[in-house]
Amino acid sequence: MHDYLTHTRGLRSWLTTLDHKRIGLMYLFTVLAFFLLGGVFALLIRLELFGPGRTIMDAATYNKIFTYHGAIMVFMVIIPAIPAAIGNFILPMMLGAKDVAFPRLNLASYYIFIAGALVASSALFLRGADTGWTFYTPYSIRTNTTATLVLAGAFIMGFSSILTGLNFIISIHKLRAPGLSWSRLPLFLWALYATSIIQVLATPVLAITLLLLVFERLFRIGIFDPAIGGDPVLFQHFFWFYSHPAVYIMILPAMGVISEVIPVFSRKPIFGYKAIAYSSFGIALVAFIVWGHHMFVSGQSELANFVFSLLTMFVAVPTGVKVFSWVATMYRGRIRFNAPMLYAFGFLQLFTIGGLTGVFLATLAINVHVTDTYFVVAHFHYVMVGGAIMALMAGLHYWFPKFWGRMYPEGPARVSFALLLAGFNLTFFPQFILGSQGMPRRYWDYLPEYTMLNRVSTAGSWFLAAGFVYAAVYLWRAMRAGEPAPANPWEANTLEWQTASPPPHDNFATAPVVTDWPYEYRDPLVPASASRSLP
Amino acid sequence: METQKPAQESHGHHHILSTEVALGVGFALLLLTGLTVWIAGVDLGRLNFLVALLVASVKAALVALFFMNLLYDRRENGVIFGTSFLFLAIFLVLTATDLFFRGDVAVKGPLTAFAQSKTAQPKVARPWVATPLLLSQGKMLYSQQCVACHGPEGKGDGPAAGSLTPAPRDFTRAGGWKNGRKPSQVFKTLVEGIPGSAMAPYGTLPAEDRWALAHFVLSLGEAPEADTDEDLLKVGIDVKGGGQVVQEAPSIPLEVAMRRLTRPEPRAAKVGAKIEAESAGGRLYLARCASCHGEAGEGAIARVSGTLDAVRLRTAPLSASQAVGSPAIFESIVSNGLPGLMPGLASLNGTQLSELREHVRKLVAAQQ
Amino acid sequence: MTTTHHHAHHFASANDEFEAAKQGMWVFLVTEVLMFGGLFVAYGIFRGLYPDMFHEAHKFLAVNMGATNTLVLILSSITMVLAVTATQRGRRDRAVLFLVLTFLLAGCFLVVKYFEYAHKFHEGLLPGGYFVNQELKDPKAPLFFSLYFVMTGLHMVHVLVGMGLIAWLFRRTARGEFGPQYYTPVELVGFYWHFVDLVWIYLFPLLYLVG
Repeated sequence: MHDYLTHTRGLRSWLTTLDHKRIGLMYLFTVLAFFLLGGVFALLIRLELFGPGRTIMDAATYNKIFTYHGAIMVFMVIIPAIPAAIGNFILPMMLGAKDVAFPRLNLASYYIFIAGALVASSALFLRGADTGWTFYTPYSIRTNTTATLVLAGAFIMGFSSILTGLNFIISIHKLRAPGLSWSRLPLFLWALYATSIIQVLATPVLAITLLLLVFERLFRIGIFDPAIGGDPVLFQHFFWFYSHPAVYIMILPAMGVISEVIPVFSRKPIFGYKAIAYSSFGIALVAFIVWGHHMFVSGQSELANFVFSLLTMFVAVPTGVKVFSWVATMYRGRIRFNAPMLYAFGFLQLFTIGGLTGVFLATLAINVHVTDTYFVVAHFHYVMVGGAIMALMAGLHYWFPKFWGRMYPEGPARVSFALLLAGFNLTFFPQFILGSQGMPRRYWDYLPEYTMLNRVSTAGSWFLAAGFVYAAVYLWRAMRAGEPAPANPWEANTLEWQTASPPPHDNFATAPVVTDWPYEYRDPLVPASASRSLP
Repeated sequence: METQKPAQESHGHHHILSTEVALGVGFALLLLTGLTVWIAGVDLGRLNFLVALLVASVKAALVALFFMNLLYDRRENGVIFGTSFLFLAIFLVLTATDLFFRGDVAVKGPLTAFAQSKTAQPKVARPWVATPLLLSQGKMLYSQQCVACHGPEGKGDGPAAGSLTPAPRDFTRAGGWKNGRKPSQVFKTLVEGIPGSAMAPYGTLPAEDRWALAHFVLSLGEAPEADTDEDLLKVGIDVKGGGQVVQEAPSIPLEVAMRRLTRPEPRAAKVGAKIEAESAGGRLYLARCASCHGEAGEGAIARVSGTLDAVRLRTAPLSASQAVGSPAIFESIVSNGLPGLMPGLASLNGTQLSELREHVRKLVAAQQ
Repeated sequence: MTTTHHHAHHFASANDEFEAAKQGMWVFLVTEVLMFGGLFVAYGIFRGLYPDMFHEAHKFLAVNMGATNTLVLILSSITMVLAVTATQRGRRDRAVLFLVLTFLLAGCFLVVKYFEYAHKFHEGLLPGGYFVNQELKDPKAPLFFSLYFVMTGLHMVHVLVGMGLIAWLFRRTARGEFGPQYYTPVELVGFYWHFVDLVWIYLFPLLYLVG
């Protein structure tokens, strides 16, 4: 009996596949490779900051290193990670479908992603880029580096993101299995749906922004260039109109993963299903009206400062709804502490801190003091790494048996989780303190009084690295030789678990019909509902 | 090629636009194009823009509803398309809350005009004299601008003060004020900030506001010494000459700022022989000009009094200026100042001006 | 005779596939609205800040050429609609005719554009830092021409892509691949083409008719 991995063989069958599961895996490995690259740059940053003054590189190089770290992590890792890697694999299965709506477009998305990544990475071998991943004008217009290549690469990668979002929207609209009404849609799909809407609306504005900046560099159009009469802050409006919703592209799928993991490992129906589903849309909507909070000290008008600070406060509401619902789900559940659940706990701790510090930053009066300090750096790492990456780990472990038909080993998984949790807090918590004491970000040097906390942070980064490397090792081993997994090792109810692990090429032997919502765990001792049609 | 009837049963929304409707809509579009060109020639003032947009939107609606079939298609496709315009509107409106409301920068345009009316003429004739009105104005401003560092009672214990070195001034104490404790001196501190500390320059506040703050802040401690006429002269107020506040612009024109910012920073001129400041012009220079231009006029001093960030602008060496060669230009610049950049010394008479110019000429000659 | 089209296996029916493809095209057009929209936002901001400059600068654009291009594009939308309906009715010969007409009208648009741009280059009315025209003295005028070239240039790229798609349709129609049972690509390229027309419908008055 063939599964999707053995359905056809050979490199070419993978490179020309239209199977969403294979495309998802190709994305996964590509994204993880970039994560490694971006992580190396992160370690280099922390090494340089081990002590004041020059440690291993000069200031101009340092500017390039943090630019690469940011650009790679944002555009080549976190934005595609959960949607394109896990989402591509799981979404059609959760819908009870055989594939996404447009499989050829899906493969094209992948190759567009690769093309953009290659163009952007080629800058590494030339004069690089030193503008920071935010490319603020006018420096990004004038810099003598090969920033144009990075801009062009990011422009190209944007289309991959757009097409993935488009594919997911149409799939959710048109390919739901019989009986899969909106009120029975798994929360991971609600999350991906909201994410896809953001991708489709926001990413095109990034495209035009990067295009305009390339034209500034090549043709001196002057729209953002004060020397020719343009406005550099207008660039920031354009840039953040995408980049703020982009952070919700990063976190919404992560929240979707958590919404799946927590009820399964608490053996309890999710609390507040409708609230969580609607809050994804609430977040997606508010995402678009708050971007100016990145610009409080840019020179924008007082009116804009006031409006954006006020509006930003609203995003905490739907976010809070989710966190409270997750906690309420766990209350009086029968919790199993497998790795996915451990990572969910990690997510709750880290994302909560990150989210609350976001409220600090939304407060205009505080922001003007801590903006462009390490406080901001700590905040976004708590939500992006502590949030999205933790959820990625949760998802990778949760769906590991489905992808490979094998179980990962729990013992090493716990070790890795401990390393990551400790390492993360050690690396980034001191940065809140450093920031509130005034240490600026993107600085190659710092005052001697910041040395101790910087050293602690650098040491923490080594634990983080160890945790990720160790996870890669045992996951790789388990993928090839782990214990064979049953179809539904977690006794979950969503459709992907109602077929073999790994799934057949067409996902389901017979087309599934849905008769119940997926979070029924009334009797904790009885596994999946008998009304599913099993292969 | 025979005509086949399209099978309709299971095919849902396969509406075929009739040729009549297609041509009719097309004709309407051509007509509307002619209309919009014609109306553009008629002067309707501000309405022209709105009418043009309206006609374009009608045309766009015709194309979308008929040519793109939205009138006959499932409603969700129209909703999907319409949503994009909603988010575009959000982008435009919120960006406009910044770009059209920057009242503190001299950008001209109909929409910025009303935003700039806030930076109006001073309402108080002699703000350097404390009055209850100014004190209450100062109190309000203090609660907005200063409380974070200086604390609600002015003790230098505000929430942001904890991490600052040096610590913010405790206004209830009389000692340690860097520039002195007279109103004009506090006013000067507000204009320039205190380099080397977290006290920023507040030159973007109107002059009247700064006087109000100075009076309020002094009222928190024991009564200050009064300003003499010379003190007031130092901050640009000529009491004898009519007592008008020197009308310094609270901001500089954007073009000037842009040019200044994109210029490379001036370096200090190398100075040959030191010129002794024994003449009347020399003494005047030392008293009024040297603090910004340098004792030898070498420039590159990061203390430009006025409204600008002290770090960002430095004085150019005097030898770089055209003023020395022309008496008329010299007198004009020295008397009137350069708006937002250099204060003018309006009280100098002709003799003093030519003595000053003579000294400056010597300084320039000594520079390479 | 139309060659039979088999719908993809993950769709339940040919109709489902058609509806999905159509909605996919609408979602794609949403992204186009936002991308061009960014340029319109930049336009709106600069026009709001420098209305007099916009008024002065627009006088240097050739309104008659712009109006001609507007008429050309509207005509091409008409012929495109007629190509779609001809395919829906199974009239292959008419479909081919209208596709060819659409293509030629698009070509017309490009020719007029060529003359327009050539004239601008000749007068030194170039974007931003390259602006060298002596008549138009407003220091911000280069911004107007930056917006002009980027907006009409991006639009022109879309016209070129559209021509490529129409040529592709022409080939497939000539080979009998479309008919009443299957005309999805024709309809969707039609939507794209109408969208290109839509953008120009706004570009024309905003750039050429600044009253």
